Amino acid sequence: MDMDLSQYRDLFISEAVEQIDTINKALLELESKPEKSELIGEIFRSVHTLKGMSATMGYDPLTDITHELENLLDQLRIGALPISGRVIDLLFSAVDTIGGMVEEIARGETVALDWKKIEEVISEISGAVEEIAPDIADKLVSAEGKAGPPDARAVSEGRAGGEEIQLSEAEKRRYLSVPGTRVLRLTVVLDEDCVLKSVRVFMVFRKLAQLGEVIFSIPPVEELEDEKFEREFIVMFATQKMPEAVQRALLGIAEIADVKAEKVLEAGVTQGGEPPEGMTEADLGAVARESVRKSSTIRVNIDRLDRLMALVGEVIVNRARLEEIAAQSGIQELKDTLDQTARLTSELQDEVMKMRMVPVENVFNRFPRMVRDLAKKQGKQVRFLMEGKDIELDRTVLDEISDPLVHLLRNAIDHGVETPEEREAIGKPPVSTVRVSAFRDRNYVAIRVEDDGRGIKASEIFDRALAKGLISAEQREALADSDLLSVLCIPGFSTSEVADDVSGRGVGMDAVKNKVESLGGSVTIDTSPGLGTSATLRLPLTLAIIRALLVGVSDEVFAIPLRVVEEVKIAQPEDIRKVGGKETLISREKVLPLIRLDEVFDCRTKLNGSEPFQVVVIEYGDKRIAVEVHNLIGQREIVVAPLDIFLRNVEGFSGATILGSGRVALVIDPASLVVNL
Amino acid sequence: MEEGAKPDQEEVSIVTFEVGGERFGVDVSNVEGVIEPGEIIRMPRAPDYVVGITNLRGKVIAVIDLAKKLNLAGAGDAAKTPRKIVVVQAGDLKAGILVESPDVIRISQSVIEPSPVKMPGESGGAFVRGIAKLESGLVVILDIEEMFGRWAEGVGVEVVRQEDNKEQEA
Repeated sequence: MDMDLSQYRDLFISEAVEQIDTINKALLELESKPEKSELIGEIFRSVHTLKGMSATMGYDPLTDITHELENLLDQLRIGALPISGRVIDLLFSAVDTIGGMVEEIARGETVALDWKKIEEVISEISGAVEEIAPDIADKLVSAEGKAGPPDARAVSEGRAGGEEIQLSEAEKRRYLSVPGTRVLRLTVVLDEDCVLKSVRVFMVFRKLAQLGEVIFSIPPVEELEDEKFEREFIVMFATQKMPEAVQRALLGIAEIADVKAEKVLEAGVTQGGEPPEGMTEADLGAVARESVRKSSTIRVNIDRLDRLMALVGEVIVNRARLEEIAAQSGIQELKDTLDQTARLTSELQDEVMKMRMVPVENVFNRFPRMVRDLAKKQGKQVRFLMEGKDIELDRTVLDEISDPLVHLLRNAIDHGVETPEEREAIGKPPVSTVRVSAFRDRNYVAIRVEDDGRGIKASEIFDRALAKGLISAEQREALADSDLLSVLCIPGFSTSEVADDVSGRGVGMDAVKNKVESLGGSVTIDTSPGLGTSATLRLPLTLAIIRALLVGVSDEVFAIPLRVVEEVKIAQPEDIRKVGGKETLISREKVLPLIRLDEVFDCRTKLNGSEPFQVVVIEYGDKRIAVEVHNLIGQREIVVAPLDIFLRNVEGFSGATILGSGRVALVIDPASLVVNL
Repeated sequence: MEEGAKPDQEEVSIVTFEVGGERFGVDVSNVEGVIEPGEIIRMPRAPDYVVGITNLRGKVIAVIDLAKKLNLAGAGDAAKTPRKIVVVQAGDLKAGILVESPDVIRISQSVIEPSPVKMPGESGGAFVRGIAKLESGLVVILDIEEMFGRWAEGVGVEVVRQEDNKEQEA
């Protein structure tokens, strides 16, 4: 059994993680807006899904805890249990426990868990449920049963008129809270000569169970099964499907004479066409979009996408090789066909790239919860804002920057944000604002983490670095405010005096900077003491395939990412000026530092310096440099392979690529060229 | 399979090769293959034991001069004599080692003894698994996981051991 299910484990995990995200998100909103009861419906729905998934997979502890959680949510849903801070905390801790369980499942083969802790959580949940007056609890039980709740549901003589059928407010709320859900009233008529009515009823209900959720039926299911009806019965049915689709499905069952499907309610649109309370037009639009998107996506293992990406990369490498051969052969037909192939592979590459793009939301979603917990723990009040959640990044890039972002956020809350008292003392509002925003910036995506906290005093940071022995006294003297980031990024530097589980473990900004730079991005930091700090990560949209300029230095070939190349030109020896012992190049009346690649890379032959030479002007971050090369080979699309881990700290290169000829070329990391200027 | 056999009778396949006048061996599970050296591109600023990088069927791997890495007497002429590259791997990591006269032998586990002497070089024998005494001479058996682990240490990455990897795949 386990063996059969193991192939679904990954799917289970990814779906479970999504559900947990949804629950966390809804809980956070519920905490600030307890009156928004549709959120409970949303949470219930996710918990219910989790329960079903866990039961299918045979993860009993998970099934148990989600079951208890459902009970608790039921109480909240009907208002028997008020939404208090305690309940929210309990829900959060339950979700954490569930998250922990899912993680265990992800890590190990079987679920080996801290049962004591789970039992504690379960008993706490059921304890909370038992606190409610027993009569309410009884009502609940009946509401769960198929007979239907006692309220507002008149049933007359086995046949029911339309007006008499109503849903309870709690039910309405529950079904309305799920986007795309509609409640249908289905009138099913059996053939006149139908013999086995109960069998047809069974088939109808089984079909319906595949399409949605039966709310109740008239007459109740028990009576239908006992054939206590004539030819017709009514089912209230919640579904994401179109009424016509449900109708068609039921008519496919034998001996069904007629099926009428009326829409009673639709999420986002009530009977009167009025949007439900608190829902704006924009929400409705989002709801509609979401349901469309959901229906047209499939899950693909990321490994497959990676493989596909690698294959496309190889095709492109081969294409480049073919183009070289075609150029040598001079066969026009071959060239034409290759042009066509080039266009197709470019399209293919674009599509694969797009497939790998995911909205930053996937990573952002866990931040609100983290911020809440951190702020609460430290007695700080934080208003947390997220912007640009729909900006998309390559999946790999996004995965990689998740940790750096967490680190920046922690920094903002630990070191940036002051306590409410401190803030009031200096005339700031007690609630601070922390914002994560993503936006497009030319060929980059920028992600910014900003706070309106105390800011960073560069001189204090420098003094601390000096006290820690990370820099010498002379170095301290030479530092200017603009050196702040480089000091913060000295390995081992941490602004926290005491190491704790939250921050200050000595792996700090340097890890952030390294990670971002290894992705071809950059980090900047802006701070004003007393007003706040903002850290910005600039990231390339995609990773693996880039356009590059191939340059020759001595007999070696290097690739420079085209995105940093500002211009290519011939420079004259007389344009070189020595400034402070270093060579600079006058270009368009600007003085650019001149870097000679043959010297930097210690190549075999060097230029003698008396003749005009080729330079590539590189713009990286806010710096511009002129790089001397021996010759230009041309622009290529290259597949950048990361260097093996033990070559990765060799300065100067961000990766390597295989050229059309099969030869390997190193990809120059522009950051390393500008670093010592 | 392995559970049944007694450890001292178990036979292992070892890829042996010569570097700097000494014979080394690597467990066959850590060897991806032996290839003819293609064009090896120099990597500026790399440590001196890195001969360069090369194209291994579409992948870029580093080529290592083990003699330099281990400070062996015969170091220094790595690029001159005609050689082969033994591609060793552990976890996700791969590297090529420039070698002479590679061979595959099957030996009993029992002839492998813990190393009595420390290897010269920075890591002081930590990545020597043991010494196999054969009729033809001594073979120093290398622990590739350990070796990669040490190289990667500075970069803060853990090298997944082969056994762990297999378990995950199962």
